[in-house]
This record gives sequence, C-alpha cells and structure tokens, in this order.
Amino acid sequence: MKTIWALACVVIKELYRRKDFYVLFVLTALITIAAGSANFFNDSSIGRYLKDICLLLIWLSTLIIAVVTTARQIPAEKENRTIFPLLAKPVSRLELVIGKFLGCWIATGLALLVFYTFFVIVTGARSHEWQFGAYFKAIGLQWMMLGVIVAMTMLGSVVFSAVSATATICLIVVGGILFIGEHLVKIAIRQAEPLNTILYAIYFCIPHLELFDVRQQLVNNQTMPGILDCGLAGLYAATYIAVILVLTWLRFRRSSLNT
Amino acid sequence: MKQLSPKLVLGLLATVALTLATIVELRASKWKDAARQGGALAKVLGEGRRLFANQFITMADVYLHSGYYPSIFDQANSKASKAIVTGDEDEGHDEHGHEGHHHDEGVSDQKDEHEKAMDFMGKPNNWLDAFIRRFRITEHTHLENGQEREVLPWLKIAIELDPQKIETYTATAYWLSQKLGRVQDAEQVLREGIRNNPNNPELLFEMGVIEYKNKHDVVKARGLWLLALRRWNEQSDEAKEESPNILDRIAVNLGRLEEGEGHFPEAISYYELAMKVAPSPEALQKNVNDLKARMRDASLAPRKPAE
Repeated sequence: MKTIWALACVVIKELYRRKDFYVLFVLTALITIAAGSANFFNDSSIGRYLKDICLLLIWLSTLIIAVVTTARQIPAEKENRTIFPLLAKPVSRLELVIGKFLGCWIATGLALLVFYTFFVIVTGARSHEWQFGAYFKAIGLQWMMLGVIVAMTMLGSVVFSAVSATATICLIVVGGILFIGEHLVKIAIRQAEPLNTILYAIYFCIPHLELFDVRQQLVNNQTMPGILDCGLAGLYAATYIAVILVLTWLRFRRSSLNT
Repeated sequence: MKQLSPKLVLGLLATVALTLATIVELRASKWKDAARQGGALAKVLGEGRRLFANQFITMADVYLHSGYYPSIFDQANSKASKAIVTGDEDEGHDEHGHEGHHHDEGVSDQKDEHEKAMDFMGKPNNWLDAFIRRFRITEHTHLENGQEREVLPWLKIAIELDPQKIETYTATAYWLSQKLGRVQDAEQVLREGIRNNPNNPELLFEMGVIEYKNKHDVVKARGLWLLALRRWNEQSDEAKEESPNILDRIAVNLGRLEEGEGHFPEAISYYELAMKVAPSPEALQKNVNDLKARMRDASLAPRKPAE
C-alpha cells in the first residue's frame, strides 16, 4: 500500500507542477466572470445561465485534465526509461497501474474541488443560493465519473502507442457516451436484427457516464438524487473502475516496456 | 546604389503613413459601424450566427420547463413545440393574440396537447433505464413567480444571433410584459425588432397589444394595428398565405377595440375580415350577430324628447 501511495503522490505533485490545470482554471474563471458581467434587461438577479456556463466549463476542464494527465503517465515513464528503475524497486506492474490510477484520480479530485469552490463563490455571490448538500452530491458523482474516465484512459494508454491517440480516442468515446449512451436503447428499439442486439449489448456494456451528470438539477434548483441512489451510482462506478483496471493490468503485464 | 539620407527616408515613411492613415481611417469607420449594428456576436460569428439562434431559443425553453425537456431522440417521437414561443401551456400567451375569440376550449386543448407532448419519458425500458432516471428530472413543471426571468438571457442572445427571427422578439416581449410586468423593457425589445424588421406586421401588432393592454392607450393601439394591417396587406401573396393567423389577430383585436369604443359598424367590418382567415369563424359570427342586434335595438329604441 505504501508503494501505491508513493506512486500516487508523485502523480499528484506532477499536476501542480504542470501548467494544464492553471490554464484551464484561469480560462474558466475569465469566461465565467465575463458571462457574469453581462447585463440582461438590467436584472442582476438572473443567475441560472451563469451556473450553467460555469458548470459546463468545469465539466470540460476536469475532463481534459483527467484524460491528458492519465494518458501520459505510463507512456512518459516508458519514453524516459524511468519505468525500469521503478519496476526494479521492486514495484509490481499491478501496483504501478493502481498507483498511477489513484494519483490521477486524486489529482482530478483536487482540481474538481478548486473548480467547485470557485463555482460556489460565484453563484453564491450572484444568486445568494448556498445549496451545499446539492453541491456535495454533484462533486461526489462527478468525481466517481472521473474515476471511470481515468481508468478508461489508463487502459487506452497501454493499448495505444501515442499519448495524443489515447487522449483523442478517450475524449471521443467519453463524449459519445455522454451524448448518446442513455439513448442507445431508444435507437435499438427502432432497429432490425442484428443491429438491435448489437446496440442492446453496447448499451448494457458501456459505463453510463451520463448518469453522473446532475447539472440540470443544480442549474434549475431541482431535487437531487437521494443518498442511497448516489451510493449505488458510486458502486456502479467502482465496479467499472475495477473491471477496467484489471483489463489494464492484464494488458500491461504482457506488454513490452521498450517504446 | 547611392545611400539615402535618413531625413529623406523619414520623410518618405511619414508620407506613406499619412496616406495609409487617410485610406484606412475611412474603412475602419465602416468596420465600426458594421460591428455596432450586429454586436460582438455578429463580429465573431458572421452570418453563420443565425444557425445557433434556434439552439438558444431551445435553451430558454429548457429553462422554462426547469430542465425537464426531451432530447433530440425523444423529440423524434413527439411533436412538442417550443412553449417559450407558442406559450402552449400558458393561457396568457394565447390570450394576448386572440382576445376576440372565446378560446377557452382551444386553450385547454392546447394545454392538454402540450402535456401529452411533454410526456415523452414513458415507462422505463429496463432496469438500467429505470436507474438512470433516478438521476434525471422527471417532473413537468414551469417557471413561475417571477422565476421566468431566467429565460431572458438566452432569448436576448437569440435576438443578437438572428435579428430577423420575429418569434424571438415577440416571445421576449411576452415574457417581459405579461409575466414579469416589465412593459418598458418589452417595448424596447419590440422597438429593436421593428428597427431591424421595419415592414413586419407581427411586431407592430405586438406593440399595439402593449399600448392597448398595458398602457390603455386606445389611439396609439389603433394606429399601430392599422399600420400592422397595412403592412400585412403590402406583403407578397406568398407571405400572406403563410401568415393568415397574423391577419386574424390584427383584425380581431381591431374589432374588439372598435367595439369597446362603440364604433359597431367598424367592429363588424373587422370581425368579418377576420372570419375570412379564422380557423373557427363561428365565435366571430356570433360577435357580428350580437353587434348587429345591438345596433338594431339602438335604432328602434324611442328617443328621449329634448328638454
């Protein structure tokens, strides 16, 4: 466990050394503040559009941070040849995979906290709404979803050779799931065999990342899912994380360490 | 090559700079005018911005329904129209255009139709679908108690993106005047619409509605509606065929106005004009019959002897 934690700490340190997070945070802040300063019919109490824009930017930024940070972990170790001394420590390949995953997941979680702190301050100042319970659930659900994305990217990084290919493919897959994952069943119903069965199989196999998106509830001040539902969603994400990490380890354990 | 003196070079450069400045200054003033006309969005997106206008109207509609909204996959199965521009669920929105008709049944039919169209979820297809729905907004509600103001930013952006889209002006004016009581702002929006679309009868009609309903200025309302009627008649035959409902609304409201002022013959002529295009002219025919009866009674009534 100590080894895994040590590996994770290195990844976390890497996040605040690199500029990605700072650039995305400043961009988010600037766009949100610019949107907040817009005047719509001299009514300063209009605030939902600001929540919407800020949450969209947070989603995009954390998604990019998670994918880009994770995609380069193992390939960078291979390219710099630091993977050899690392595995000679001794650190097993499973520990390496888990350590890298944990580091990336915690790092994106920390980034998420910073983004949400900004979001709470901005929307609180604008609309005087402080729904801490709802924010807590939203952060928790998004963090679980980012865990699945980090695991998926980790698998991609041991399958594809280039970091750019891993990042691009992961972003496309995640975007596809977020946009049509939920609706695959509606499309499947209208299709003839064998497309119907194929779509159903995809529907049940993919991790439904859109499930963790509760932005509409936050923006429109609607009831958030209950604690039990959030717990079940956490379990759902944890299952996918475990399965994908096992697949990553199976692939990584046989792969050559030379680039 | 003979070496040029620095003073000569400076002099030549100054001449070139002055010449360029006089040419560029003229062009720059044109750019500024263009930017001022279309706003920042026009400058950034160009004419392509019109494509996005509909998306922002949809955003306003999503807000109006507090996030309960069909996706494009659900919309493929339903004929839901945008309540933000049609006011399907809202009696008031229909009322402002059809005051002359006795449309209670029509309004409730529209409400039922809207409820039916918004019942897009149906039963869950499987356990996973049921689970995902626990994280979705599943109740059909609308913004109320002044919360309607939240739709305004998207409508304002839609106006900037497509200044020729009439329904955005009318919808914005409706929500401002009827729901938020901000008549001045609604008037401003309609004025902007008329500036951008000077020959549009619908905007003139809506402006008349504000004068009549909110400001109770009968003279101005009549003037605006008559101008709207003239603009409608000046349209091409094709445009007329596409907008009989506008003529219906103008004529009915003019009829009501004249009826209220006691000018029965004028009111009858406007109602008869509306009957030519109204989807259900029976109610209007009843109005005409009532007015004719009242005119007959008035002419038969014994006059009081002069004192």
